[in-house]
Amino acid sequence: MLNDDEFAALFDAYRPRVYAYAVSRCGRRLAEEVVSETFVVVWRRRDVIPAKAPLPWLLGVAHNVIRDLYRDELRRAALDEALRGWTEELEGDVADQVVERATAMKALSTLSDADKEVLTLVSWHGLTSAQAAAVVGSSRSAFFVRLHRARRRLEAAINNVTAADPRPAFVPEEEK
Amino acid sequence: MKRKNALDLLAAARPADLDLPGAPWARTEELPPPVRRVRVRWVGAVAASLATASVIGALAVPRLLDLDVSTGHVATVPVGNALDTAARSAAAQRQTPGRFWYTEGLILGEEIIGAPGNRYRIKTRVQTGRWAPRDPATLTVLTERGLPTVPASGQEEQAWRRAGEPKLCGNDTDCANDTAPLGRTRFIFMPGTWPYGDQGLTLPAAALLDLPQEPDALRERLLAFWPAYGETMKDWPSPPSGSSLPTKDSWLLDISLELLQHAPVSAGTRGALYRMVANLPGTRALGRIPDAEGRRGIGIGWTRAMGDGQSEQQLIVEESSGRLLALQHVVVKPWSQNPAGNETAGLPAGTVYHALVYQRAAWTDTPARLPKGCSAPTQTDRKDCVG
Repeated sequence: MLNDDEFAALFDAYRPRVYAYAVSRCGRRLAEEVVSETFVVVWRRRDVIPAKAPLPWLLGVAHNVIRDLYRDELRRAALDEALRGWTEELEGDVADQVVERATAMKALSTLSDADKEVLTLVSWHGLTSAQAAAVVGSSRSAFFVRLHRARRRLEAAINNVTAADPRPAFVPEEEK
Repeated sequence: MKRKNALDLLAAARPADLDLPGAPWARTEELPPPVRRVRVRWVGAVAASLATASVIGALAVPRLLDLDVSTGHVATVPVGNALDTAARSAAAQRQTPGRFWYTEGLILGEEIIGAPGNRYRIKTRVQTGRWAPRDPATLTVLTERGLPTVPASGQEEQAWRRAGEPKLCGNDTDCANDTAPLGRTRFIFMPGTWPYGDQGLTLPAAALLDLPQEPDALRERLLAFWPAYGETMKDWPSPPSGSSLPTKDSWLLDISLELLQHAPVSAGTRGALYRMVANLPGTRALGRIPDAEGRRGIGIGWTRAMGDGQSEQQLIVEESSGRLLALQHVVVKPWSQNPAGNETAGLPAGTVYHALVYQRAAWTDTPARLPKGCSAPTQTDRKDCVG
């Protein structure tokens, strides 16, 4: 079991990652509370923290904390608000690359909650499929299928956004 | 035309909001194992969260205090409608009664302990389960498992350290013979109709399933048991100072809350109970409020004076399912001295000082799994064992 100092070091090392995950799931407004509650749970369960590579386990705790802490509607509303803000920030810039990012952000906001989580775990939090699978509590193979489908839907959504607001077109990598 | 991977595009769009100020994001690598030895900053975050219940309660207080709690007839929204949606949801649940109505949850408490001059506030947690049988010959099994007791906030933790960091144990905090032993489970065996049988609802457990499913008829049916129970009160000793014997209304409320929490009743009766308690005199609608674990639901409450203080009992229900989330007590007017039967003096207004938080409630045919050497008693005397 971690002693107080080891726990403090774990907190310092991983708090930014847990915070980032929380923001991506429910926006900044609720994120601090998620981080606090997550580390309360981690503290209580400090006898089972994986010694090596604890990040997926920590994010798995945060995943459950968010589910238990907020009703889905509240969390989704908070995330939608955040996504709108992020999109507006990007749309303020006319550089091609930034326009593409705005398109991706807008497309993401049209996807299901499950797709959003799968995609952001990989693209925003830098997790491998195996790590992300551990966070959402699925098998690696099941997660791989979910990611593949979510990615397809993201591609379609990006093309839809682009079609509705013609700017530099997006062509999926698979069609190269 | 430049072709891009959708995930790369999304990665490039990663918002800066995800980063804590001064904490640049580590893109792909797992962070190195922690080696730093620093003064614990996590205490603040943990304490902040542990204090959430108090904060939530504090936010609710102005709403309580600006109403005329003595009459109990003032409500911010029509009380009669407060639990209608939840009642409909509860009544619509399809249930196949099994051998037991099983409930699982947490008993949460907050109190002030320690020697005079070195006092600090703690939070206690107990994991609990209850198997309430339909067969009156079968015993009710109640389990209690102590979870770690912690200081209630960062400030309280400092006070606890100043007091010499005495060991914090289970619910009883004396580290010996706790009702809910830390890390172990106590199995308690009670009569099948406990506790509502002792409270005057002298129905066999199986008959509870036949209770009316319409609020007025249910009220009438339950009140039919009041005269006999009221008669038994003649033999009771005088209540301690600051408390009083049950009245017809308070008895009806208590028995109804007991049925809602633990009794094997039908989904229709559960819905009728919600509607009935929401319409009892003195009930106040609280709107959407959080329970002690932060889960939000629709709440109704009843304020009660005890000693020189006042508390509010809150019933919180998830509207979409009709699931009971919690029954909790909040300090409205702090006590200067402990009221009878409570260790609540000194707790600030807004503190959730006692809560039963429900995590699961369902019919089951599976009885409690008893540890080796802990067989259920054949008589209905209270017995228990620790496993």
